[in-house]
This record gives sequence, C-alpha cells and structure tokens, in this order.
Amino acid sequence: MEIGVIKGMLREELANSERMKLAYERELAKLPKGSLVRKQIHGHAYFYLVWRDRQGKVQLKYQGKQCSLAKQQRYAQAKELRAKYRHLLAQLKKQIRFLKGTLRGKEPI
Amino acid sequence: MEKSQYELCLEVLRRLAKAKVLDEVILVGSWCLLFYREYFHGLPYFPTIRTRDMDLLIPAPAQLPAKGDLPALLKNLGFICDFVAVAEFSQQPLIKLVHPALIVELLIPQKGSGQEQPYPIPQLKMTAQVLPFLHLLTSNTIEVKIEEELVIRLPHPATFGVHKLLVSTLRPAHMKEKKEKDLEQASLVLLSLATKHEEEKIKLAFQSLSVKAKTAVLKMLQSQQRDDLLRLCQNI
Repeated sequence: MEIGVIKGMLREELANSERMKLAYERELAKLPKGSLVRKQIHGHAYFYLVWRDRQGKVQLKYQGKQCSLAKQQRYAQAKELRAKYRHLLAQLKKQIRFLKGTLRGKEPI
Repeated sequence: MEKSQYELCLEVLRRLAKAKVLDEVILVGSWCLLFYREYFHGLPYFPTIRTRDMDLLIPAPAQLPAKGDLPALLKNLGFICDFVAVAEFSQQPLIKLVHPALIVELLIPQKGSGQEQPYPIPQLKMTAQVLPFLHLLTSNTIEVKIEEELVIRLPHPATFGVHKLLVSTLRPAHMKEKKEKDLEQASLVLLSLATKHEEEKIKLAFQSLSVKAKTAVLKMLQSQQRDDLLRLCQNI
C-alpha cells in the first residue's frame, strides 16, 4: 500500500524522535551522578554527595566541610539538566508511542 | 505542544538576536510559511503542517560574530547536540541541536558541484549542511517583525515558492512524499502571491533560474497538471 504524504512525514518524525531519545539518554549518562547536599550537624556544615545505588538505596559520601563554589554550581546545573532531560525524554516516549500507533493504521494518508 | 513549540521557536530566535547572530541568518524551510502570515495579512492564507525542523541559512559565515556558542546558548532550553554522519568517509559530522519540539540545523549555500562535507562554523561551535541552490534564497529577502526588537529575515515568498518547485524536481523517486510536500508548500505561497497581485515577482524569481532548472520545473508542473502554477511561472 502506498504511503501518503502525511504518513511519510510521520515516519520521518518517528525516526527523528527515536534518534533523539538515544541522544538524551547519552546526555543523561554523561551528567555527574547524585546531588550535593549541605547538612547542618551540631551547628557545623558538612557537604555530602547523595545518590541512589542500583538497588534504589540512598548512598551518601562525605565531601568535606568546604566545597568549592564551582563544584556546587556544577552539581546544581547537573541537577537542573537531569530534571529537564528526564521531562523531555518522557515527552519523546509519548511522541514515539503516538507515532507508532498512528503509523500502524491502514489509511493511506 | 503546538503553542509551546511556537514559544520555543520564538525563544530560540530571541537568543540568537541577543547574541547578534540573527542578523546574519535567514530562516528557511517550513517555518517560513508560518511567519509569512504577516506578509499575507488579510488574505485567506492557511499554512499547512510544519515539521520540527528549524533551518537557518547562513549566507556569509565569515560575517558571523567572532565568539559564540550556539549549543551553550540553547542548552538550558533542553537542546542537546546530535552528531549525524552525512557520508561514509565524512571528516566531521553534521551537528544539529535537538529538542523534542524543535530541531535546529544550520545550512550553507553550496559553491561548485559535488557532494560536500558539513561546513565548520567555529564562531557558533557548530557545523552546517551544504546544499545546492540555497543561493536562490539569499538573493531576495524580506524582514518580518515578530515582536518588539525581534525582526527575522525570510526569503521573499516568490523566491521561496520557486525554490520549492526546483527542489521538488530534484527529489529522487523514493521521496515521493517530500516531493508532494514541496509542491504543496510552493503552491500555497505562489497562489497567495497571485491573490496579492504579485505575479510579476514570481515571474522574476522564475527567470533567475538557469535554463536547465526552468525546463525541469516546467516539465514537472506539466506532468503534475498544475496549469495554475505554470501560468504564474510563465506569467501568461
């Protein structure tokens, strides 16, 4: 059955979305794991790196009483980007589901 | 998604304007159809579906501001770099900035003949795709004001339409959908220009093509039985 103009475009968009999904997953993997947390214990500040291990258990690693501003900013930016990329990845997955569903239809549009 | 896609497109343009890059680029591709609404104000002009591709043509890469970083400029909007190998032994990949709602790609007019490698644009830390016949789009441009302090350059609708007709003739047989889409977009713009009594501009744009290109376009329009567009190109 001949693919119409609309389905041709949708097929191209599906290929773009699938490719983009892989690209976002790669970018997410590149970001530093975890986030930097400042804990106040007995009136003193301590920095910890916090992340979840493969079993989903929260892990903490002591970073010291001081932490450079550059490092704090790096982790803050990574946290922001991670949230953004996850949100966009969720959008992409919806797009892919929608496009695959539409392309399964038999109408030659 | 549609409203947010438009907002995202505007935000990209705003950032390009702020980085003093917008003056040096021409917005081409299907997004032109949307921004032509201003040009065809008051006429029954209804742009059709557009894709996520936002193509920016750079007529003169050397005139771009010396220091810029397009990926960094758009990073916090969620854009990431996608590296595409254009040919098997390509020295460098084509870099596109991708987002679920928009894909930003840079284009450069081809000089000479033959398949060309992606062209490096160090001023923007990007590479651009080199395509033939893009020089047609740089020859005659219009400026459209989107909002205060945001003015974009677009190819004149006549040039855009004629370019789409030419590109339609160059599509290989297996790209029938793209061919039809090109013809549909050309038809929308050229017929709208005719409604505006600007047939002379279409004729001038068509006359600027080479003899070979003109013959190919006329042959294609005849085979598609598009007498309306044939008349416009020949201004009969």
